[in-house]
Amino acid sequence: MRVSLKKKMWQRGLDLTENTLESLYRDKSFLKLSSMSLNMNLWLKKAYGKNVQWFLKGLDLPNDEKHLVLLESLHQLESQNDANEDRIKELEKEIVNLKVLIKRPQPTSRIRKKQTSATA
Amino acid sequence: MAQELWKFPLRLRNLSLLKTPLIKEGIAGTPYEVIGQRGRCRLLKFSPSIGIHPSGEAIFVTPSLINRYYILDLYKGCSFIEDLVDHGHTVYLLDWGAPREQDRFATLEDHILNWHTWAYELALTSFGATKIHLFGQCIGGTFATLFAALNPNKIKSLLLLTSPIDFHVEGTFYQWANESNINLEQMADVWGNIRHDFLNQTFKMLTPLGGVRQWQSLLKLSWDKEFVKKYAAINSWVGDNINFPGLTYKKFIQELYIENRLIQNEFYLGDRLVDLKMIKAPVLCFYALGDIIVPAQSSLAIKEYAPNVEEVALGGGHIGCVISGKHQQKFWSEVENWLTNTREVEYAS
Repeated sequence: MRVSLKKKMWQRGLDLTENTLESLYRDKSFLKLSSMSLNMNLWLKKAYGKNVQWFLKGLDLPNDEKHLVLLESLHQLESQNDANEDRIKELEKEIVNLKVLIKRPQPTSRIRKKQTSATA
Repeated sequence: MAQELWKFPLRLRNLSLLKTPLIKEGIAGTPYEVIGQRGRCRLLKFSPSIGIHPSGEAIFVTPSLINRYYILDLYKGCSFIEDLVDHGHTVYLLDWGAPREQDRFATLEDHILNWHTWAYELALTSFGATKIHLFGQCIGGTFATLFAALNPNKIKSLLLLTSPIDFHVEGTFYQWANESNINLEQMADVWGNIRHDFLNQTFKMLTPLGGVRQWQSLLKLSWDKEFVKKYAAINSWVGDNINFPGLTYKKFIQELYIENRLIQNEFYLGDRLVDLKMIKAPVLCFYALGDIIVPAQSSLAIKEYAPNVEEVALGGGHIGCVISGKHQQKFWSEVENWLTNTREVEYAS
C-alpha cells in the first residue's frame, strides 16, 4: 500500500474517532450519566471519606455493608433528581431491611455461644 | 525516503533532549522583581532593560486563574511580556499562585475586591500614575472587566484576550455547564479546591485526540529543534496545573456560566453591582477564530456595553493565538499599536 494512502487512512481514522468522541461528550445522556457518577463519587467521599473506586473494589467491607452504601447513595441521588416517590420509598424500605440484617448476630457467633454455654 | 535520512540524527538528538531538563531552560525567563505579596498572590514587576528607552506606559496583566501565568512568558522569543518590555513598557503582573488548602474558602470577592484591587493600587503607586492599561487573558479578562466596571476612573484602557463576557453563547462549555447536573456545592464541599486533574480532563475532552495529534506533530517535526523546544515548553505549562479555589469556582460557574448574570446587570461582588456600562475607557477586544473554549461572540459581547470597543480577530485557537509564531506576531503588534495610539490621543487632548 502506498505511504500517502496509509497516511490518509490514518488521518481519516483519527478524524472519525475524534468526531465520534466529541459527539458522545456532547450527548445529553452521557452528560447526565457522567455527572451522576461524579456526584455519587463526591457523595461517597463526603459520607465515608473514600472514593467510589475504593468502594467498588470493596475489600474492607462485608457484602451486605457494601450493598447498604450503594443503596444509600442511590437513595440520595434519586431524591436529588426528583425520582418518583414510590421508587424512593422502595429504596428506603430496602435500606431499613438491610440495616436490620447487618445488625442481626452472625450465625457463627451464635454457634460459638451455644458451644460455650454447653461446656459451662 | 532517502531524502529524509539527513533528518534522522537530528530527530534522535532532539527527542533525547526532551528527556533532559535542558530543554526547559529559559521557561518564564523574563527577569522580574516581586514588589508585593499578599496571601498566595504576588505582584511581579517587569521593567525595560537598561538601554531600552522607557515608553512611559505601564500595563497591568491579570492572568487566568485556571493555569500558571507564564503562557504569556513562555520563553525568550515566544513571550508577550518580553515583547512589551522590549518596547519600553513596564509590566505589572498579578501572579495568583497555587491555591493552598485554606484557599478553598477564598471567594470571587476576595480575588477581585481584595487581591486584584491591592495589586492594582500597588502598581499605580509603583509607577507613579493615577491610571494605567489593564490587560486580561481568558477568565483573567473577565476578572479585569469586573474590576474595570467597579473602578472605571483608574483604567487607561482595557485589553481583553479571548475573555468570556456572555456565557450563554453556544459552545461546549456552555452546554456542559447547563446540561450536566454536577452538584457544585458538594464539589466545593468535598474537594475544597477544585482538583486540577478534573479541570485538565475537562479541557482534554474538548479535543479528545489532541494528545495523539500532538505526538503525530512531534514525530513529524522532531528534526526541528525550535519546534521541539516549543513543544517541551507548552507541555511543561499544560502539565503545570493548579487547583481552582472552591468557593470561587462555585460562584463563577453558577452565577456566570449557568445564570449568565453579568450581561443581565445582575451580578454582584459582595454588595456591589457590577455594571458593565460603567466602563468608559477604550477597550481592545481580541478573539481567536478557532477558539472552542471561548467562542468569539462571547468575547465580543463587551461591545454591547462599553462605548468604545475595537475588535481584532486572531488566527488559531484559545492558546494557539498566544503561542503560535504567526498569530502572536499579529497579537503583539496590535497591542503595540494600541498603546502607541492611546498615548497619542492622550497627548492630543
